[in-house]
Amino acid sequence: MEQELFSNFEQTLKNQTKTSLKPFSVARSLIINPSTTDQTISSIIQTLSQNPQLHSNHVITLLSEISLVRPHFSATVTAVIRSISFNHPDILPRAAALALYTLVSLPLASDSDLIPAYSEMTEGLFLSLCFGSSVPVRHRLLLDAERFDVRPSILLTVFLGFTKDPYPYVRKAALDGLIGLCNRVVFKDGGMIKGCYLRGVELLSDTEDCVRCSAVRMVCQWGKLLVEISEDKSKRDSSDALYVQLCSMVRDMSMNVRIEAFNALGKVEMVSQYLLMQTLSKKVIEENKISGIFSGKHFLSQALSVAGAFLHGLEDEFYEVRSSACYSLRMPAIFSAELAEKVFGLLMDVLNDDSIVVRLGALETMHHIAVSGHLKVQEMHLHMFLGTLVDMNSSIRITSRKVLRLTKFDNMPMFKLAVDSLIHSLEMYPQDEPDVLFVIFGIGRNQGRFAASITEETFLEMEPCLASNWDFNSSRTAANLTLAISASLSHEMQQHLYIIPPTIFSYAVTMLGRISNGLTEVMDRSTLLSYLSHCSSSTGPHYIEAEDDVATEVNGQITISLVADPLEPHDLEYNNIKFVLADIAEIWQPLTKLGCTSELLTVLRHWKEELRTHITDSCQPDSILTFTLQYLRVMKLLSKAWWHTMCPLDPIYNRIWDVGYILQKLETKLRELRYRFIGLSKEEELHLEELTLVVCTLRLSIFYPPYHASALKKLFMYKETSTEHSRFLTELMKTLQKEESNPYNFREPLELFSLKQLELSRNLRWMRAELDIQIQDNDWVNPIPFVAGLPVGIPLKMKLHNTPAGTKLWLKMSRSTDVVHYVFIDLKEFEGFDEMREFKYMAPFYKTPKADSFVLVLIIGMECLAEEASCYRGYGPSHELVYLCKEKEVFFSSVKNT
Amino acid sequence: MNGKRIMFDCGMHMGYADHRRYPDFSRISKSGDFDNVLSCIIITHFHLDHIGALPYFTEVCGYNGPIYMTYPTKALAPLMLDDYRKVMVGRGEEQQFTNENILNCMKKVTAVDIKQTVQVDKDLLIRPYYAGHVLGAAMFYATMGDAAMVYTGDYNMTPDRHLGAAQIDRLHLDLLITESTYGKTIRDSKYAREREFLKAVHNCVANGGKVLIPTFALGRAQELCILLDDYWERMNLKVPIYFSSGLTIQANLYYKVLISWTSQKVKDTYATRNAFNFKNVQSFERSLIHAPGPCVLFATPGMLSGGFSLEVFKHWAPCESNLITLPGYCVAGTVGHKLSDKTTKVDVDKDTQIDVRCKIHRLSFSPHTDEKGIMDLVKFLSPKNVILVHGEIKNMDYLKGRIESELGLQCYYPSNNETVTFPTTHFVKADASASFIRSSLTPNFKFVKDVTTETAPVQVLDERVTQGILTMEKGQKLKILHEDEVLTITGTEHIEV
Repeated sequence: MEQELFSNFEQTLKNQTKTSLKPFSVARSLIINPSTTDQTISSIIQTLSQNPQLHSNHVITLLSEISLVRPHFSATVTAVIRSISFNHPDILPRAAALALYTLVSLPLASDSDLIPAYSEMTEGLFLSLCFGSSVPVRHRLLLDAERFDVRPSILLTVFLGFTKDPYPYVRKAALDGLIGLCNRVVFKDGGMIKGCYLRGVELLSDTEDCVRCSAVRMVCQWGKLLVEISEDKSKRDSSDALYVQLCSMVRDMSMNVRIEAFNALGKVEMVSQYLLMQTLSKKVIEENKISGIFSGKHFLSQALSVAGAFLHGLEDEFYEVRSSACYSLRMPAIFSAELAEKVFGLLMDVLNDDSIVVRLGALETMHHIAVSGHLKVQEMHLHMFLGTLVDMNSSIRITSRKVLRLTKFDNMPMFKLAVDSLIHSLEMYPQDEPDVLFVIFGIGRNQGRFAASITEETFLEMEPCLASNWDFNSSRTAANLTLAISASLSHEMQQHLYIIPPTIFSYAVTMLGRISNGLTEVMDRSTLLSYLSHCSSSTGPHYIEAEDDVATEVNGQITISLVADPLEPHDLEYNNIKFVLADIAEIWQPLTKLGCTSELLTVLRHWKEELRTHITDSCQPDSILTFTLQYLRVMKLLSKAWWHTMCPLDPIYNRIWDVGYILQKLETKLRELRYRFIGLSKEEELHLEELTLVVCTLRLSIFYPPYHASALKKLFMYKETSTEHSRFLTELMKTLQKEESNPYNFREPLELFSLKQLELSRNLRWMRAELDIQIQDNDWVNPIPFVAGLPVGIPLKMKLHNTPAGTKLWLKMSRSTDVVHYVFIDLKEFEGFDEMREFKYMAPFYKTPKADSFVLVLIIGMECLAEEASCYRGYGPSHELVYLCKEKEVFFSSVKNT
Repeated sequence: MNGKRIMFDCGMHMGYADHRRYPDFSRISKSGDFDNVLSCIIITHFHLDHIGALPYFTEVCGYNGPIYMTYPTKALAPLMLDDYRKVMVGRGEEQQFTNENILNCMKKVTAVDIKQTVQVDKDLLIRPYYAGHVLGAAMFYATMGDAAMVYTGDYNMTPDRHLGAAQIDRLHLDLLITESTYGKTIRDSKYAREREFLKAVHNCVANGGKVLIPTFALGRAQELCILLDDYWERMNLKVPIYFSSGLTIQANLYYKVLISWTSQKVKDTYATRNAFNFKNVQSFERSLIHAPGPCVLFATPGMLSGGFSLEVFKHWAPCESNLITLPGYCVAGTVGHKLSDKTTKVDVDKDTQIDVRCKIHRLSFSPHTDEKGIMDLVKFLSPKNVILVHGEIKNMDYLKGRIESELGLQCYYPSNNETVTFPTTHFVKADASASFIRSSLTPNFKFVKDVTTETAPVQVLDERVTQGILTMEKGQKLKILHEDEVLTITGTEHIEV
């Protein structure tokens, strides 16, 4: 088959009279077939090389294909192609170009002696093709000139010559080649560089857009080279000349040329100030305003061509040009303060632009100015600038804040406006909070005096009612507190510190999490906390000598070293907790009445998180903290239940099961609060009792009849213990005595309920237990064996914390909801004291099922003796249980299996 | 131009009400046989000073030759002309043409697109380029044989909110005829102008005043309206903005359709929202003139030369809290022009004198290019000759000085009825010898290293064209020969040309 095809190819190639692609396609099919033998391939090569002139194009295509598919033929192919392209000068230019491409893409033959001669040959071929009459080939070769290993000196000449080619794309390729050459090769000959540069300048007025585009880039590159090599004296002049040339292109009619022109303007490094000044004004600045170094006509022509270059750029129709102009404005902007001010003024108007890219570019240039220290915001600009803080686009907001952080404000109203705008933006975009707080902190530290007086103002309003108006969930509060903190850490003189009342720092503690989120770059949470607690603990005016210790600036990054903490951490926690408890009482009423349940829940959740940060050791929880957390949870549930019950808009009965579930949970939690904490004062107990009654009433107001009796009982128990009654209780009692069956009657007492502040006593102890099985890794794989029907003993290890002697504890063992078994735990058998008892115990379980395996859920519960006795029959607790530990699963497997 | 006659624009003078408002057509042809004298009429845009006399010329004077204008101009011109006709009738003047005349006139018009080359006749080619200024405004490039010229009409080199900047290719021109309305003004950033305008309007409405913005129905009205609408949106203002007449609303409709002729920004946003769907704009009713409370009103015509804007002006001008904006350019003789002289008492017509107490804000928004724009265009095109038109004499004289001294170009500003002639490029056809063609196909570099010239010490030149030598033998055609051929013919060794 192979032979047949080959002979077919040979025959048709020999016999054909007119051009036909058939033999070549046959040859190609042979070449690309991997199973064709090398012998056939070499004969193909030979046949092809015999009469190349005929169809040189196809012959060379095939040869290059062979070199690709069969790399080991590349040497042969190289030799053949070489002989074709050098010995047959009359082959088509396209074929010759293809040959050249194939030659340079093939690996060089191993005999290294040939390399110089070889490269000379390719160079010759390249040149002869370039100077040939085929324009497409010339264009293509110029584009790829770098590949052909031509000596730079020759390449330069070729490029330079072809910049005058009649064909625009050849001119463009030549210019691009010159740009590439300028980057790759080091030129030292001034004359040559100037020649190239001037040729580029000449082509700036080419008729074709694409040529002008490349010319702008070329002039920029070679112009910079020219500036580099010129003598120090004339450096400035040649740089100015370059700038003028580039500026003259910003009014080109082609958008691409304009973009290139502005890009190039941004790259020039050294320009006279008067020229830069002129680029920012369309009117020619009068000569006498500038020192008369520059003589009339020369100066005028320069000024005319640069006049208003940037203005034109900024008001261009295309956003690409505008953003490029914004970028290149950086150069004049950092040149001098005077220029920076003008640039800033221009950029302010750009902030009005409709394109996000342009606005962002403008802001970034502003940031550049700010970094260089020339940023000076004027009052008339402030409004516009601060508008970007509430921009729709987040990256614009971020950049705008970056600029703002570096801004210096001259007076108080400006500073206040900035802070207000920041807070406003925070309210609109809460997701920006950390960054906004960081910026507030930054500007506050830079201008401590203003920050302090703002703090004074805002907090003065709040003080009389003791922060009762404060919404400790609002971003505004967080921002104000951050500002206060920043003022105290100001870079300025330290005496402002005393203006900030210490209570503010304690407020700040309640928002520690949010504030410290914003300040992560400056200090970590614990540092902030200790600083805050330090500041809040001192009363009255205090002079902190330690200020310098608090914040020492090292390399612009502030590291806060800790001042010796005078207080125990527990005190701090306690303070925190006190605040939280006070605030709950403060806000719960109005928020629930207004139906702002979701806001309330957020606040509560937030506090919970805040407090949770104090948990240092999860194994040794702090009792007060645990209580508060639990209390917060109760409040959350109560708020929810309240909303479901009392909210007039809500069709209650649609969600009755929701409420039932919430109430159930609420009761359990309340019971835990009531019984698991030892050392509750009378007030605390009454508080919890009242809450329990509220829950009862809530239940009554929905599910009236079945709960009536138990609620009444509770109420009477409560009556006995308490001395004074709240309005809620009195009203509730009246309602109960009326014996009416309308659930809505219970609404009335509920309306009167008001949450009192809970004052926690400090010697609270939390009762808890730890339950463990003595067998290691009890699981499905490693179960305890049992015999169905016979009791099984479970080896347990129990640890009890804070259990007083009279406590009645039960071990509840449940196999399923209905098979429950209780074992009484006798405290006398435990070793140790109330604080901590330990005990190893073999708990018996009698009701082993007739099954291969089962799981037993164990939990330790305490009997609530004060609760009414339940009607539980059989062995077990006679009152409701409160559980002291987490459930523990024990796995059993029948002996038969093991 | 090379024996052809083109009429660029056929406008009228807004300041006159008698026969002087139309051009003196008898100067074209005494006999009235315009069709044979004129090759074509080219209308650059739809402003009356560029198109106002066209129906008169075609329908009354009887011109039947080709007329070219861009698509938007063709669409909007009838509106403009009809509005003008109505104003004339309203003033009790004898109407010069009827609505039917306008429609008939428009039937003779050939619409063209930007950069579309039209072969008017065997030799004459025309091609419009985008000019900014107003919707559909174009600069026209015309070549007749080898002579080439550009007539700009009115154009704008800086883009505005709804139109792009003028755009043209770099052409080899013998003549550039450019407008020079603002021959001696350089405007600084448009942003500042916008800011001032918005501030003036905002202050006025904030104090409960009424703002009257007399504008041309097309162009400025849309530009200012986009600006105000954006601002209203951003500042959340609720003060009503009114458009006075049906014309303007109809014009908005055209703008919405002709999006491709507007600025890049409007085109870009078109995907989401048509910029000409103004959110805060309502139409005005006559009864609202005396309605209390602030408002902004756009009314035509622009220079308070009559019509509705003048009527509203009479009512609002005496109140101090009101604001009237004036366009940057008012033709002498109009109320607008009188107002710009800061006079407090203005004679509106023969019997009425108005005591003007309201604030006046001069709009420096202009769809015309400024001095710098003209210079930039002239510099970019670098024609052999420049003619300045459409401007005041002293401005044109100043500009002529600049063009001649800075750019070294010939510049003229002929007054009416004055004729300027100058030579045009004329290519000569010559045969080329075979060897010259061959040598022209292949590059031929010549290296010049001349230390004495200051410009560039090293130059690489392509010598192939300079090798051609033009020979003229008696009785034969011109011929270009290759250098070597000439050498063999003349038998000399070296030739200096």
